[in-house]
Amino acid sequence: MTCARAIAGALVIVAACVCLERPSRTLQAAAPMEMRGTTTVAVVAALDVAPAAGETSAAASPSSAALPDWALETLQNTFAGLSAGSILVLLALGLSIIFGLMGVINLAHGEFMMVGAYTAYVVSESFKAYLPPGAFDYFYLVALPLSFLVAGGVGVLCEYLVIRHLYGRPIETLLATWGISLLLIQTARLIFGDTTSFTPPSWLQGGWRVIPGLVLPLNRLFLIGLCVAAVAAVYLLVQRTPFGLLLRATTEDRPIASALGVPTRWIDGLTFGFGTGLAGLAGAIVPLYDKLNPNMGQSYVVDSFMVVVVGGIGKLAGAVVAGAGLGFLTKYLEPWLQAVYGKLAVLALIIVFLQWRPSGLFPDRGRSAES
Amino acid sequence: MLTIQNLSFSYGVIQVLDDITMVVPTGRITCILGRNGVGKTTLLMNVMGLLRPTIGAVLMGEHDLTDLAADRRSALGLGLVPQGRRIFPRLTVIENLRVALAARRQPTDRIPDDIYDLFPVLKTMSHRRGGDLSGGQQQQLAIARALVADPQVLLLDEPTEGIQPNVIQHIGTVLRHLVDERGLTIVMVEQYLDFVKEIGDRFFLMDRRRVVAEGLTSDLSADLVHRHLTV
Ligand SMILES: Nc1ncnc2c1ncn2[C@@H]1O[C@H](COP(=O)(O)OP(=O)(O)O)[C@@H](O)[C@H]1O
Ligand SMILES: [Mg+2]
Repeated sequence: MTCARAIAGALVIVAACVCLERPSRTLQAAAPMEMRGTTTVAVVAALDVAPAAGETSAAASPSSAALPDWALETLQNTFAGLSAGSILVLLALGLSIIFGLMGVINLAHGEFMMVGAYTAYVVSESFKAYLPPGAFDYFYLVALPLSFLVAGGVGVLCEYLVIRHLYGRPIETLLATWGISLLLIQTARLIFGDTTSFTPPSWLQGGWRVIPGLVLPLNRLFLIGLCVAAVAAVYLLVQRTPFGLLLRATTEDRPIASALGVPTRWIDGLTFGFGTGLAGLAGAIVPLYDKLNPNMGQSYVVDSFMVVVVGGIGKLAGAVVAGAGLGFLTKYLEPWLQAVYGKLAVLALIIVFLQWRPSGLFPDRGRSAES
Repeated sequence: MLTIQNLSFSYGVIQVLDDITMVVPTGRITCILGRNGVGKTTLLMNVMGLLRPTIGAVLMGEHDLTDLAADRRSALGLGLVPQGRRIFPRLTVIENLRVALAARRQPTDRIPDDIYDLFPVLKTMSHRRGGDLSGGQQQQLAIARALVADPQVLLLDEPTEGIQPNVIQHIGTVLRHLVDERGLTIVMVEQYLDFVKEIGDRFFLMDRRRVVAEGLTSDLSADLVHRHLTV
C-alpha cells in the first residue's frame, strides 16, 4: 500500500529532523545517567536522580559493594534500561492503539505528554500556594490522574475539532497533528516560559538499597511500577470490557462494526482521548527526574515511534517488548557508540527495514481501509 | 416498509446506480437479481448507510434514513449480512456475537438463546476465532451476528456464495422461518436462481444501473433470465 509507505517515509524524515535538531535532549531523556560520562555505579545512581540525589549518594559507596563492579554495572544498566523503556512503552501504547484504530500517526503525541507534565506542575504549584505545607506530599496523587484526564481531554477536543474531519486522508492528518504539536508547544511556552521543574514528593525521593553498592532510585522504581500497572489496565480494558470489544471490532472492520450499531465516531474520540491520556500519564512522571520545558515531548516521541514501528501496530506485547528492548539497547550500546550516532544508526536501520517491508509494519487497517 | 426512492450513486465519475426505486414489502423475502458488477452490493451499502447516494432517499417506516449514519440505522432496526461475510477474524465467535450487544445504550452480555437454536454449530465453536471457521460456519455466524441486534429489516448480500449445499439448505430454512414466524423483512441479493425461487417471494431485476423488472419470484420468466442474467 503506497500510502502506508508515504506515511512511514514522512514519519522517518520527521523523526530524523527532530533527532538531529535536539540531540542533547534526546540523550538526556533516554539516558540522563551515562551522559555524565562516568562508569562508577554508585555515582551513576546518585546522578540519575538529580533533584533527589541526597540520600542516594550517601547510601551507595563502592567500597562496601557486595558484588563485583561489572555485575553491579550490569544490574544498574538493566534497571535504567527498564525504566527508560517504561516511559517509551506508555507512549507507544497510545500511539499504537490510535494508529491501529484510525490510521492516524499522531505527531503531537509527545506534546500530549508535555501537557500531562505541565498539569502535574500546575497541581504542585497549586498545592504550594493554597494548601498547608503538610499536604504538599500528596499533590502527586492528585497530579497523576489529573494529567491523564487533562491530556486525554485535550486529545478528545483535538479529535473532535480537527482530526475527525480528515479521516481517510493520511497526509493531511499527519500535517494536522504536526500543527497541533506546534500549537501546544507555543501555548505552553507562552504560559510557562522556557524551563521549570517541581519538587517530587518526599516519598519518591531517595533510593532503595537492595544490596551494598546497588541503590535503585525510588522515582524510577515508581515509574516501572506505574508502567506495569498501566499496561495491565490497558490489557484489561481492551480485552475484557464492552468498550474494548467495540474498539477491537472497529479496528478490524470499521464499516461492518458500524452496521452492527457501533457508534464508531464515539469510539474514535474516546480512543484518541485514552491514547493521549496515557501520554499525559507518562508526562506526569518525567518531572520526577528531569526538568520541564515545552519541547520535552519531541525527544521522547521519536523513540516511541521506533517502539511502535518495531513492535508492530496495535500489538500490546510488541510495544512492551520493543519498548523495554530499546531501553536496554540504548543503555548497553552507549558505552561503545556515541549516543547521537547510535540513534541515527537505529533510524537508518528502520528506514531500510521500512523499504523492505512497509506493509508488514503498517497493516492495511483502520480508517484508511474504509474509503 | 423499506422504500428506496430515485436513488443514484457514483464511485467518483463512474455512475453505478441510476434512479433506483424499490418498494420492499414487509414480512416478505425480496430478492435483488442481476449480473456481476451491476451494482447490487453498492445498492445494499447505500441502504445500510455505508455509502451515501448522490441523490435519492432511503425510508424505513416513518423514518427518513438518508442522512443517518449506519449505526443509527442499525438502532432503528436495519441489519446487514455483507458479501464475503466479513466476520471479525481475530474476535472469537462469541465476541463477534457480542459486538451488537455491547453497542447498545445499556450494554448486555446475554446472547439471546434462540440464536443457538437457529445455528447450533455456533454453540460448539463459541471460543474459536472467527477467522478459523469454515465458510459455511462464517456465513451462519454473520447471519446470527446481525440477528443479535434484533433487526426488523435484514439485508443479505449473496448468502449462498461459496457455501456447501447442506448449509445453503439450512440457511434457507432459517430465513424462511424468521420471515414466516417472526415477521422479519428480508432483502436478499442472490445469484443462485434455484435458491431464489425456493425461498424468495418477490424479485427486483437490475441491469445497466437500473431496475428493469420486478414481480413474484414464481413469475420469473426464462426470457427475463436469458436477457438480464445469463452471461
Ligand atoms: N470501491 C469501488 N470503487 C470504484 N468502483 C467500484 C467500487 N466497488 C465496486 N465498484 C464498481 O461498481 C460496480 C458495481 O459493483 P458491485 O456493487 O460490487 O456489483 P455487484 O454486487 O452487483 O456485483 C462494478 O462495476 C464495480 O467494479
Ligand atoms: Mg456484490
